[in-house]
Amino acid sequence: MFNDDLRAIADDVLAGSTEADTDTLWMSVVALDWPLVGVPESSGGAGGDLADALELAAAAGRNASPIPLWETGLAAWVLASSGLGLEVLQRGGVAVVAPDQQVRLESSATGLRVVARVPAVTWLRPAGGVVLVLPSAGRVVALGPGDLGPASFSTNVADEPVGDLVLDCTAEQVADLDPALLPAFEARRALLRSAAILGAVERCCSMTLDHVRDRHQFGKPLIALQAVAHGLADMTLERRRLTSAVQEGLDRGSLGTALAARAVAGSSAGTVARIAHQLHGAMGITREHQLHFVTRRLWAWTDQDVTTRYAEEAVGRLVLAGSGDDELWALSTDGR
Amino acid sequence: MQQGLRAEIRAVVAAADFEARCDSWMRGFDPAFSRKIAEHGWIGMTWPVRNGGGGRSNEERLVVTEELLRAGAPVAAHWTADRQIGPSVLRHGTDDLREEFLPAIMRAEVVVCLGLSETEAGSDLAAVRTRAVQVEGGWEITGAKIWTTAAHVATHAYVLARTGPPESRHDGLTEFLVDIGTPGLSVRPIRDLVGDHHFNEMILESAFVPDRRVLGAVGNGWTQVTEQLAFERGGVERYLSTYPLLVAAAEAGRRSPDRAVTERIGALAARLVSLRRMSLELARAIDRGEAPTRLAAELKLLGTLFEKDVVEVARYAFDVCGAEPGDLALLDDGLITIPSGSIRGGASEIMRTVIARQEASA
Repeated sequence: MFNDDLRAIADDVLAGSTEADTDTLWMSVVALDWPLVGVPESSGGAGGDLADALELAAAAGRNASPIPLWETGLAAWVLASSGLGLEVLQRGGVAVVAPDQQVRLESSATGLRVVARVPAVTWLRPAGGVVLVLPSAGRVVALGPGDLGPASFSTNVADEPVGDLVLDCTAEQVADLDPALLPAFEARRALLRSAAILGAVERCCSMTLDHVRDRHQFGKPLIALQAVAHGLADMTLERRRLTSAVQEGLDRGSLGTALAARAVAGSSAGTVARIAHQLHGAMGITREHQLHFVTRRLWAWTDQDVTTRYAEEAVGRLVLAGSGDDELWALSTDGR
Repeated sequence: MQQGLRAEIRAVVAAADFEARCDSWMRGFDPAFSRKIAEHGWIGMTWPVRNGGGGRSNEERLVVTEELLRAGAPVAAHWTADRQIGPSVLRHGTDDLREEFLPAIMRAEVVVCLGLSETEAGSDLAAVRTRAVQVEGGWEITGAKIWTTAAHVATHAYVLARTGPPESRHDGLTEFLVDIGTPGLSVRPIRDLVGDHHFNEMILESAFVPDRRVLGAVGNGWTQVTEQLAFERGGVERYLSTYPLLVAAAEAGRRSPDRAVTERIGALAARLVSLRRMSLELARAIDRGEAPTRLAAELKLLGTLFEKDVVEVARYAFDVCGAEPGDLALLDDGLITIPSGSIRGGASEIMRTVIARQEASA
């Protein structure tokens, strides 16, 4: 879709992710350099562009892969864009934007002391790295596993690790935050999340199609019932509009189009999960069935990084900022 | 994209005297405005130069059509001919038919109405019973068409008629282009729910049509009309019909800021980005010579759902933020548009069936 060759390979490598040992899975994607796709080779990344990164995010969503694949790539992109090394992300990691009240910075003789408490960071793990983006302080701070203090860890509805980031350390890797980086980061993250949601949506559609073709009731396959066929159609409509939204965010990149994709993604996620479960019947809500691996992700991701409501409001502010329909038209058509 | 072309269209729109309204491509009938559009070469603009067309891309045509509907401009007089009959004549017509129709359509001299539906053939179009019988030099058509928008102001009728045996279904259909003044052809008005007149019944009683007015091959009507529907369903009018109302709702949200209204406008704007992208994909597919029937069905279905939600959000925004003079009239305009949106050009149920069938066979 964004890179068809990569799509095929990624599905091959990530197939069966839900049963895989996560360490083994991580090693195999590291061997392919995938966590650093979208980051220039000159900065220690794997090269490739945003389209490649989106394709990997979609593949991770489609295969319900329990590893921080694109999340690590996003964190690496922040580090590379800030001129910092990528070492802290060897076992994966995340980038977090932390507001003022959660972080205190103190200059000391030995360096910059960081005292922070950032609640509910998804993919925060004892072995992983963290990239702190601090808008008010104007800094980017890279932290390795050794820098993290005691933390309490839990999981979200998709079984992804969530931890409270607790820090009191001297940061060694610090850079100034380029003011243009923040909106670019927000846009990139929104688009990557949307692509991951799209991947999960695609998987819901294919699993549901298989099910309604195979399962017979009333002496015929479920899909022969018009109500069922129309439910399937509604799922594929969500897939279509989300695909278009992400493609537009990629081709006509801006914070506006990225957040538009994110708003569409959040709305499609719920609709698709609902119909997928409805058409799977009781079997779909068992632990044994694979459907929950993708639907639980859709539920978790709807409000992850930013909430869908936030994305809608942000797009709304953007189009109400101008006069007449100038901004609305520019956002949707690129016609100024 | 296409800033020069956009500026040109906006200048023409700004100089014209009309009131922006919803559904302007169906309800805004103004031959003088259509002639103005024709003078700028914006009718038949994608047709090949060797056929007298503008030789421009469907991506450029998208810019023209979206700018016109953005303004709520009265484009109904040329819309159908430009959108689907011209392209159909181009694809399937003889050289004579092309010479007869294409330049005239481009001058906005042709207003076409679509004789597709019948009382017993609505969503089930293959049940068409209107018959065409071969006579010397042509055909005699007998039957009755219904929901024929603009037949009372049209110069020509497109008629889908059965030339095969009564039970031939998809195989025995043929397309014709009939002069509206043909003896035996009569038009009776059907008022819509607010009393407006755009629908008609069109009766054909042994109406003679010369051979040269057969569009395409005899018996190939079903294949041709299915392609034509990709043009009919896949245009910007499937999601921009209520655009003037969306702009009014946004204005309300700007006058009197409210978080929930901002969110709702934002959610609609996000959907609009996606719909517009689908339109662009469709235009590109047509430029590649494809007939993207599935994408057209998807755009139509998602587009009419969007238009419906625009009306709901506008109602909400006018309540929370207050309405200016004219806003509520525009809301009514939108409200009466909504029921037809998900029926005309193929009912939503048919769209879903088309989509599900293609998904299952993909």
